[in-house]
Amino acid sequence: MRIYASLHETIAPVARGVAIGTFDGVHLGHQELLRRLVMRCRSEGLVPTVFTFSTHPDLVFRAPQDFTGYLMDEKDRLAAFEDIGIEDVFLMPLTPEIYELSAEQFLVSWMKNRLQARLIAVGNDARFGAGKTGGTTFLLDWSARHGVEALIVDDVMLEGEKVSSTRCRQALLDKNVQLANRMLTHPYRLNGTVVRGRNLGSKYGVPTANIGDCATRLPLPHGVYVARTKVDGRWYDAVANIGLSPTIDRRSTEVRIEAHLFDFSDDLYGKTIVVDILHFLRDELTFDNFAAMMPQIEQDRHDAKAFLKTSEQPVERESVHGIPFVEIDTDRFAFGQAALIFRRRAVKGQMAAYALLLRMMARRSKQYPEPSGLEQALALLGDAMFSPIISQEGDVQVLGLMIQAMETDHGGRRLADAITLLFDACFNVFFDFASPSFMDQLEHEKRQLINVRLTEDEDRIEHAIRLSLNAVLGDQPHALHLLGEIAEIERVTPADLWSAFDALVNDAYAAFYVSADMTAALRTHIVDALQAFQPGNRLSRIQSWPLDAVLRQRPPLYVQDNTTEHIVVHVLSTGSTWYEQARWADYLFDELLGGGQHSLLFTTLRDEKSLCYQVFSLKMNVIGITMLVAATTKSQAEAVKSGMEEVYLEVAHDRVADEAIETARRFVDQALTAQWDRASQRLYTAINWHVYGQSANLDDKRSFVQAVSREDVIRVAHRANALLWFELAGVEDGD
Amino acid sequence: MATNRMWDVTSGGGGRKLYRYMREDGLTVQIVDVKGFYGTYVSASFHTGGNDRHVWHLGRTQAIPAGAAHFLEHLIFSGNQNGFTKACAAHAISANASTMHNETIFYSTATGQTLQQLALWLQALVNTQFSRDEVERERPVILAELDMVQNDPSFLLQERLMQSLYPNHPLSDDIAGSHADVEQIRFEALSRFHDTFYRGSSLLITVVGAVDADEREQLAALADATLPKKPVIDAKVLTFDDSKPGNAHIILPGPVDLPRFAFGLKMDPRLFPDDPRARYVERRRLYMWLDTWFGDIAPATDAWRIQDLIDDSFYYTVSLGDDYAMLLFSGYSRRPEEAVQTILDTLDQAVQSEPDAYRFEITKQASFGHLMRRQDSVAGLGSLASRLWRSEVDVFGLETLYANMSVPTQMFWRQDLKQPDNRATVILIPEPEDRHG
Repeated sequence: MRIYASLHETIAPVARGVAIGTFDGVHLGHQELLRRLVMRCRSEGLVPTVFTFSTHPDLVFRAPQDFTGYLMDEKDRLAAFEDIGIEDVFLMPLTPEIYELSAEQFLVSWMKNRLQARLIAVGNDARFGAGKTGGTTFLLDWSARHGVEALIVDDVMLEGEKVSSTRCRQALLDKNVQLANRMLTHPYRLNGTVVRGRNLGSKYGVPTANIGDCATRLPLPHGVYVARTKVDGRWYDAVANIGLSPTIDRRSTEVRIEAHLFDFSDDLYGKTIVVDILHFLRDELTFDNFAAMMPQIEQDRHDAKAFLKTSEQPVERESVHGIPFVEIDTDRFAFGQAALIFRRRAVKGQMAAYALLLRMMARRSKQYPEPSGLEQALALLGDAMFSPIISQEGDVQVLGLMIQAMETDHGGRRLADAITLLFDACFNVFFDFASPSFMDQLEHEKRQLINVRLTEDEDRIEHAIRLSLNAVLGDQPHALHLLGEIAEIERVTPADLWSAFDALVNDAYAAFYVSADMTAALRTHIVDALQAFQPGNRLSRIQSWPLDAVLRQRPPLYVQDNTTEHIVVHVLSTGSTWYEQARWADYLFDELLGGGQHSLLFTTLRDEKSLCYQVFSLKMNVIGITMLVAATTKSQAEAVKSGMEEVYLEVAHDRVADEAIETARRFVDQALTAQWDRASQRLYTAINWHVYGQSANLDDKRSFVQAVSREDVIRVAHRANALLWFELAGVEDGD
Repeated sequence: MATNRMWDVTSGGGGRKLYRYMREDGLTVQIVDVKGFYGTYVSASFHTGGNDRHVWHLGRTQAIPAGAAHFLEHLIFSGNQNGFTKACAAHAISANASTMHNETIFYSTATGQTLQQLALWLQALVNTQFSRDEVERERPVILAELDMVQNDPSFLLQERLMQSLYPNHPLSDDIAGSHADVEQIRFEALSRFHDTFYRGSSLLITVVGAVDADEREQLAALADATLPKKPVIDAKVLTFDDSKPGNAHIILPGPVDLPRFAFGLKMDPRLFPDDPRARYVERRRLYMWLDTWFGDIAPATDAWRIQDLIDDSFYYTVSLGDDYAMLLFSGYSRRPEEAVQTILDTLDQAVQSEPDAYRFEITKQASFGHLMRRQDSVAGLGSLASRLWRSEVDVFGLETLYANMSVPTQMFWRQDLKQPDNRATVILIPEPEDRHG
């Protein structure tokens, strides 16, 4: 990421998409704006850029005492920009040279001429130019005149109110750290250097790190907080006291930040550490002496641990050779889960090699060269499961190895053993190209894969969906089959497998995720296992995000078959909103249309008209399509098609009953809570949080669903374009 | 809430508790309290299914066509007079049902709302009302469902295999019946089926969720109040089909691109203990013994895979009811005849060998782990608790049950498995023409 920090720097002459704002905290609303900018820039070949200031405007335009403090250090703000995919940042001093420019002058001289902006993104309350005379109306007008596109991004609502930096600050001042962190999507963070304290804690077995240098930051209410502290690249759970420490010095006027780290005993003096504040536990109290405070400290430790175990929020614990290790600590489930995930762009002709590689890795290892040996080892771990992950998100291949092992009463030992198996399978690869048995194994796996390809079309609905998808996507990577085509599988050589392995561990985006009842020993075990990776130049998270597909409108397609079923598929383009808040409206639209027995399609086509046995809608969010699918008979097919169209128009013409939308809302909400209750979904929550920045908080998601309006849902229906009518035609009844 | 109700209580890991209450007429309510979960599961399971072909009418049993249990299950959902679907929508309750040979289970999941779910089920199942019109409206939907499964190779294999193994038993018919059966099912037959089998005395209610003591009492009180005490009607007719499949070997073309085999070995169900719990244990022991020879842990299967005899679809099970018992094997294979013969040869070798205690121990660990895994969701825990209770097994007693499960030495099934006459094989091969046209 390039940073321009002075007004007179030479600026690289590239076309840009520019987001303008202060972005203190880089909260949910900012992220929505920046993510949409980045995605638009990627599809239009623009450099995603932020134009911001090194000083908060309130410090310049208002009395200094009116500014309560920054939500984020500048270094963290820049890191957050980079994390979202911003490539250029203009971190400008807020001097008269800028703030005395009129809105018109600012847009022309900075945006158009110097930054070569083709796209300008702002929030809907943006103000700019001298006297803050420029707003969104002005920007829209100016953009139209200058051939620049304006992207005005709506507020993000959480718990019924707009997310803003001001609201975040107030929540922190109100001791509602959790609400602030939900808006920030990350914990409120303090950075500092550990200074010498009085060492009283150490004498009583509760050593603390005392941090200075947080003067410009928002002062938190005095009290004890649940925290997490990063030392030398690793995060430790902690409790932090922020206040005057009156038990130690009753006359003190200096605010101290003291963190007591769990499972840590080294000396921290002089080290730079990071303290993430997670939850307000209690107000600061005064005790007669340190010894008298000890029972309360024990209670705080206990309460903090209970909070950390039940909040189930993911955290990136550490990064080893550039491989992040992300965990969700939970004791709700009997089985712990862990996955080593790789992400790379799907490439035609290479799908089969990767699928074969992953399947072979999950079947044998150096220690267990025969599948039955590996299965015996897994069985002895209480039916531990070891499976390949071979999936796709748009044009991105998501590959990996997953392990599940029983944890109840085993304190993480079985999961640790299972993780050893996983890394053994991944890194101590059994490939011995010279051995005849290797060729046998490869040929066997090829036949297995071919069998899967040959038999998958037996499910007529799946078959029809696949053919429909291919019709609208053509030969784009989004339409490539996960397992490769049969001819491609047949061609795979040992050298192809080796290339795939090499590219996977050295070039692809890689991360390790675990959801389990975490212990310090299990964390250490994972970190040690990750040492197997070499430092490399891997894809970044953003580079591993899917790219938009180009969807083609097609004339009706009719494929004759000899079965007795007749499958109708109607493909609608609903737009790729997976990275936007707008996706919640899409979920509601999908649920309303064909989400289950309560949906419009089901109640109309099946319950009222008895036209089909099965009918549902299928949303493919990354690709941006919704499919309406019905299994019927040939004689009913036309009636089904008309029925589908009627139901869809019912929504588009805003004739749907409020109750139907509320029902859909209730079911989306129920699906969210059900996901929270499923062990495997907890792991995917961590992955989506880490890769896409999606909230991992159930209350957030439920709140987003509540915030979707009737108009939002109708808007999805308006946005939808019919791409294709597809029929997998069965024989006529009685033919 | 004050109560005289006596609950049996057992404890599981992670502070989970199972409360069970049984009324004198047989109505059973079991509630699993799991903390920290938002979701809840409620099921109502009746001891009736596709094998029940007689109903009670005017003091005697009366034959009905196949498919009645399944048809009735459909009507519970679609009968508008019950208003069931609308009521589910109002509470965001996801409801579903499954009709099996000897059991019909209705189940739902939601966020909280256990009382609403149970109230809905009891209303729909016990005080159900459906009209002749609704029966007629549902008939084409069921016929379309039958059309759909006609394209399913698993269904075709299963159907032909059952016809060979149990020609004189309801198992030879599909649970949903044939086209002709469904056409013949009348409103009266469905009403009588309902009167006969949908009774509190044969009902098992299972609730899973964060359920406190008050809610537990309310759930039981609701069941008590809604379900009048009625005696069980003994309309169950056991059919012991002692016919011999005679090593039948059927090859037929079907909607497959790769050959697929299924074969079954018929056993005498009377060899298994009568006591439900002991019967369950013996079934599990037989299954785990099979695992030692045919499971993924068995080295022989490595070789079969390399030789292309089986692939990942290879599957076997032990099917045991009151009046039937069999082993079933199935899978895709490019060389199905050879695959069947190899598996049968291995089975012959297995029944003549002493069981491998070490491998049995491994399969026991895996089997227990598998059942623990199912307990990681409220729905998995609920369906497991419900199924196990029909065998009088406590879901939280599995660890002890498995710990005490010894390697089978008697192998009372040995004799039946040795008999070629007890076997039948069906092989589905690709149709000669390209069915994709």
